[in-house]
Amino acid sequence: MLNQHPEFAEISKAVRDQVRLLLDEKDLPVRDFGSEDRLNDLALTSLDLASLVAALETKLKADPFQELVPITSVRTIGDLEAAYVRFFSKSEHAAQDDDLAQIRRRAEARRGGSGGCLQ
Amino acid sequence: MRSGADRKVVVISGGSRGLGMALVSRCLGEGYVVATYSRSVSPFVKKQLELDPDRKNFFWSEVDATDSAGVKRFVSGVSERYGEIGALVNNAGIGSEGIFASMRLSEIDLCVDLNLKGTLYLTWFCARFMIQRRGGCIINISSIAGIRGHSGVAVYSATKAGLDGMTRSLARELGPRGIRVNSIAPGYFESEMVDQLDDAAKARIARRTPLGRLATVEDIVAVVLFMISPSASFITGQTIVVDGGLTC
Repeated sequence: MLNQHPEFAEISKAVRDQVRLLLDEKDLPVRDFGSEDRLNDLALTSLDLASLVAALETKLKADPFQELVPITSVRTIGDLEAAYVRFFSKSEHAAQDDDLAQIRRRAEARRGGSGGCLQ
Repeated sequence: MRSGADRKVVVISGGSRGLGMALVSRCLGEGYVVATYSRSVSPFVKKQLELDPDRKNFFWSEVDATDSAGVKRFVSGVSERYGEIGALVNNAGIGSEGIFASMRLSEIDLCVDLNLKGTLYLTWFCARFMIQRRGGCIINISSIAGIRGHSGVAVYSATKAGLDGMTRSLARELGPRGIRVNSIAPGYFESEMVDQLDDAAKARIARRTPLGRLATVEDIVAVVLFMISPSASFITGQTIVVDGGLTC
């Protein structure tokens, strides 16, 4: 399992390792590929993409396609990587928002629940 | 009796009573590992848990089938514990009876949520596991009510016909990954649902049935066991009607 908020390099490695594994399972030539490479050109189908997403959910503990990113927008390896980057970036922002909300609650409590709020 | 690598893990929804209980019991008897859930523990489940405290062959969780997060936790627990899901039997469901136009809308929600949405949730989580493993078998327990019209069961019929539609589409979608998807549509069989019928009604159904009787639970279970076995390895996308010929 990766860090809670993996860096791009970790995400990219996880995505590409999984793609290589899938190509190998399908007995397709495992060649070098980059962000610009289209999944179709690698002979990966939409069912393969579903399998990739399921495997990456196990590995990264994340599924960006449930709410954040439409699966139909994924055409390339780069699109796939970007979806996970976006997911973790959003969850980091959400964590920051949670921290801020907690600080606000504490400040309100210190003021005896006077109804004031930090601006 | 299966052993070692041959031990297939079968997930059965709603295995605490009725047909689900019979399926769990027979699958355990045939050497399968069985994972099931229900909303509450039953004497049958309690006994199985006591017989297998290490959960080597039997796994149960308290899950509301309409709670997707709960279903996800259950499937994750099964896959982490046993490392595979070889077959899924979507058995959980409820009956819903009454004149459609006078039903409460909440009754429609309840039946659709459990029979259709609950089944779709469980199938979604298991299918994600199966496509990675490139194999598996999914059985949907539907009903002859999804095939023929019956007054008073419009909502139930809609959910069961929905399952049959899901069966055909998923069979096409998942077939390339070696996953078979089929429905089994029981007719009237001795169950809590049929217990509500009086003797005259049961006799009338038996008279209309070419094989002259109502089905037993064992009639249904036997077909499920056949369909999850390697003997049915070239059958997918079908609705197998088990009704003694009532609908033929």
